[in-house]
This record gives sequence, structure tokens and C-alpha cells, in this order.
Amino acid sequence: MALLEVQNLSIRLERADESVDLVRDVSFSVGEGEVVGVLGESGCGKSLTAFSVLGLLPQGMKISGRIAFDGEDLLTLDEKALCALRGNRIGMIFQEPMTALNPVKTVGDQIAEPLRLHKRLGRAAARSEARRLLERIRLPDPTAALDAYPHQLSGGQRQRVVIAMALACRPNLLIADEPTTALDTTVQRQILDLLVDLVEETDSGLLLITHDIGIMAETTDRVLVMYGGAIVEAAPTAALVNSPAHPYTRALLQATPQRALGSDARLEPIPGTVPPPSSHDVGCRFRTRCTLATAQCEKSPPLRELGPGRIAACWRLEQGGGTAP
Amino acid sequence: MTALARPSASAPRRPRLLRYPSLAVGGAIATVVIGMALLSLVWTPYSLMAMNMRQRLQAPSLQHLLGTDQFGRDLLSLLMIGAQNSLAVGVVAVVIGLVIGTALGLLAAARRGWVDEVVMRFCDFVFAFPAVLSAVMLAAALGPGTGNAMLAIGIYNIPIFARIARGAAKSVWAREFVTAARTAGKGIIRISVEHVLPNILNIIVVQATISFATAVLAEAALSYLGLGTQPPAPSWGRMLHESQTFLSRAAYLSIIPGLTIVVTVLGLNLLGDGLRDLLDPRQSAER
Repeated sequence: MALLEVQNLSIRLERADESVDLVRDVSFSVGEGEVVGVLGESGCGKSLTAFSVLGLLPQGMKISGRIAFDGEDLLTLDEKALCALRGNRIGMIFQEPMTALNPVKTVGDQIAEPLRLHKRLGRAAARSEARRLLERIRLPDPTAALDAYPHQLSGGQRQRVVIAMALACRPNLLIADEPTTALDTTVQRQILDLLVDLVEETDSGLLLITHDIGIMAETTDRVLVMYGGAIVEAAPTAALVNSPAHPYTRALLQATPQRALGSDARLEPIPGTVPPPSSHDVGCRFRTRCTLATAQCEKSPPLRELGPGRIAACWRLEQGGGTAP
Repeated sequence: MTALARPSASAPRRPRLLRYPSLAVGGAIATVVIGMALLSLVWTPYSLMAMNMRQRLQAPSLQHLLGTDQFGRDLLSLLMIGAQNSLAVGVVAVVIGLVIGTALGLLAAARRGWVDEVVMRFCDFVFAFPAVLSAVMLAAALGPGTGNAMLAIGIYNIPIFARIARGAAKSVWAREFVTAARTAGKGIIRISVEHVLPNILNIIVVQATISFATAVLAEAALSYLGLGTQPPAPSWGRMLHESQTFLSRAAYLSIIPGLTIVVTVLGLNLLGDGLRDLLDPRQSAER
């Protein structure tokens, strides 16, 4: 069985006067030592899906489906059991290293915290473990960094510290929500290499959320493409990049600077924007921006199996589906 | 990557205190008042009980720097011992308000929902009565005395701290490092104490200073009304009350305790303002 298994996950925002469909019927799995990417524009439900795994959805959101971690259904656990899991067996890395660290505590204290909390380490033991972690994430001068405050570090250094905190208890599953978006490109490279190395080293699973196809192509084993709160395509990374099936995936690839993908095709922006969740109806959610849309798209397309590990939800996969852009 | 940035050795600049005149003035006044109170524990110019009817209602002179009262007691000695009393009431009242109020505010921000609602309605209820009036009501209900004055003023301070702590804590809860702490598996109480409290401490400290000034004033008011400190212990408020009768014969007897109260409260308020400037991170960033 896979490390993380999500089945038919739906998230609704329920207010007094309305009920909004934020994530619909999402299923996927992450195995040990596997890097799974979640790709999509902002507002597609990527981060919500990640937070639901940790049981940290904002108030007022109703969740249904099944999230099994190591065989245990997380949706049935109480807050105490979830607390014991978070930061211990499931680690999370955030987008903004500038704000993910507490400004009034030293780096050493912040890395030592999860160790003291979950592993019951003493002060000195936690500190020396924190120092070891800083060495492992290749921070220069780890001893000095232990007593530094976050504002004394650069963005890249801070993101390394955030990673060290997430890895402190050797989690089985790591969720990284746009871990490099706030960093400049040279630092992005280093951080990603570091993440992938660490995942391989510890044989843990990594769920990497990003909207950057270049990053996705280079680091992940499999990719889920999300649009409007639902999975529109899932495929092994190489297959997805070489022969995207869903029109949205194709449009995303065409809108990406091609150097990362080794081709010289023209950049094509996707017209329009992601529809707000309140406008979700029964049809295919991409149809308003899709060049292939027909009357049939007023009905929701089912996810169809295209090959080993490949699925996509589109009525018109046969029309130009499965070919390179 | 660059080496760790370290704070550079500070270039010569104006001494810190001079950049905050209100902090300097307020701090100086507070120091003098506290110094007077501390000194009076071991030494006063005259004994408190040293009545001398032949020297009653003497105007300020070299012998009695601030004159004497209707019993011939040395006014300076009375004021010094009275300071003990004012400060003790202020400290205890602020501690009661700060500890309970901050805890309630942190809880309301962390739990939200009905807990938040209950705490805030309690605050509204207490706020519905003017500060001194509610202290008078409580002191009247509990009976006069220094202890009850502390309690009455302290209870009034609770919602002030609760509201301020809640507002500040809510903005800290919205920050990403709190979410990070939650993903690290911490419960809300742990997060409140370890992450939220340190980030709102500056606001709490400033409020404590300002509440302290209010508490000194409230104590004087209660004592003036006979609900605070009881005789024979001297208190600024009661000195003011007792001197009323002699207003035409010995005005200094009213003016001096009155001025002492005004200057002390002013000093504490200035101190609070200065601390707020000093601790405000936005202002520090500009320097």
C-alpha cells in the first residue's frame, strides 16, 4: 500500500447562504521515496488539498472522502492524534521563508522545538541535533546559525532552515507548498536538489506543489494536474511533458518558457483566468478557456484511463489528445 | 550564499534616551517616585506618627520642606510613604489585569467561536461602567481597604488587557509561522504561549505602563472617597480629601499632594508613550 492514499477527497466551504465547491473528487497516492507533483494555477485547490492531509483546513470547510496515511484514516483521528502526527511523521514546507519563521526566536530554538515536542529530547540533545540538521541542509557556519534570528539570514538560508524544521523528526511524508517560489532562480536550484536528495536519503514521500512546470519536469516522478479544484490529468512526469493529454496541460506547457523543456516553440498565454469556485457548475471547468470546447463540455467529463498510470478528464482526448504541442 | 549577516557595530549616534524625550522624562519621574517609595521604607525626614500640635499647618520651610499637616506631621514624609501605597496598588492591580486579561485574550484569539464571543461580551459588560465608577462600586461592595482597592482596579484592568491581547494575538495567528507551528504538531495552548505571546509582549508592556498610571489615579480617587487606604496609613488621595477643610488657611496642603498625583500619572503616561515608540517595530525599522 502506498504511504499516502487520498480517495475521493472533496472540500466544500459552507456558509449560511451558500456552499462552494473548492476541491472535487480528488484521488491520488504517494509512495515511499516517490516525488509526486501537483501542478496548477493559483486557486486550483492545490494548497487546500495539502492542508487537508494535515487536518488543518480553515474553519467552515467540510471535508469528505478518505485520506489514508500509512493505513490510518486521517479524517477519523482527533486533534491530539493529528498533533502527534504533524511535524513528526508528516512534515510541511511553506512558500514564504520570510514569514514561516517566528521573528522573535532563534533558529536553533525553532529547529529544536519539534524534536523536543515529538522526540522528547532534552535541551542539549535537541540543540546538537539541530546543529547536525543545519549541517545536513548545508548551511554555512551551523554553530553561529543556531543562535541567529531569522532576520539575520538570507532568503535561501531561511528556506533551508524551514526545511530543517520540517525534516527534524524524519517524517515519512513531506509536503512542500511552492517551496522555491519566493526564491531567486539560482537558489531555487540548490533548494530543490537538496529536497530531492533528502527525500532519497530517507526514503520518504514528497508531495511537491508548484505552478512551475520547469521545476516539475526536473524533480518529480509523477504529476497531478489540477484545475478548478479537480484533477484533470495525472501521468508519469516524462509522459506528461512529452505528450500532454488534457488541453489544459497542453496550454500550460505552451505558456512555459521553453528553455527548461528544450524546445523553441512560441510562448502561448492561456486566455482568461481560473474561474472562481463560486461559479463552479456541472460542466468541464476549463471549457471557458479551452480552444477545443464544444457543446458536449457542458457536461462534466469523467477521468479516463489512457495507459499505465495515465488518466485525464476531457471529452475530446481523441481530437489532438496525446500529442506534443 | 553569503556568510551570515551580523548586526554591524553601531555607529556613534545620539544616546538612546535622548531620541525619546517622553521616555526620558517619564522614566525620570517614575524613577523619582519609585525611589521615594523605596527610601521611605528605611528613612523618612520625620516619623509618620510624630505629631506636633505646636507645629500644625506650617507652610513649607527649611525645617519641613513641604510644610506640615493639621496634626503637625511632616508632609514630605507622608507623601513618601503614600507613594509606597500608590505604587503597591498600581503594581498589584496591573498584575491582576495583565495576567488574567492576557490569558483570556490569548484564549479568545486561539479558540475563536463561542469562547471568543463569551470573553468579548464579558469585556463589553465591564466596559459599560466608567473605570472609576466600577472601582467605586466594587470597593463599596467588598468593603473599603487597600486590598479591595487593588482587586477592584485589577478587575477593571482585565478587559483592557483581554481586548488588546486578543486583537494583537489574532493578527499573529494569521501569520505563516503560526501555521508552520501547527504543521509541526503543536497544540493551540503551546502556540499561544511559545509563539503568539512573545510577539505581542511589546504591546502588553506598553499597556501595562499606561494601566499603571490609571491605577494610581484610581487609587487616589478611591482613597479620596474613603474607599481605599484606611487611616492611619497615609495615601495621596486621602491627604487631598483631608486638606479640603484647610483650603483657605493652608492651600499648599491640597496643592502639593494634588501636584504629586498629577506629575506621577503624567510621568507614567509619558513612559508608556516612550516605550511604545521604542518598541514599535515599524518605527525602529525607519531608524
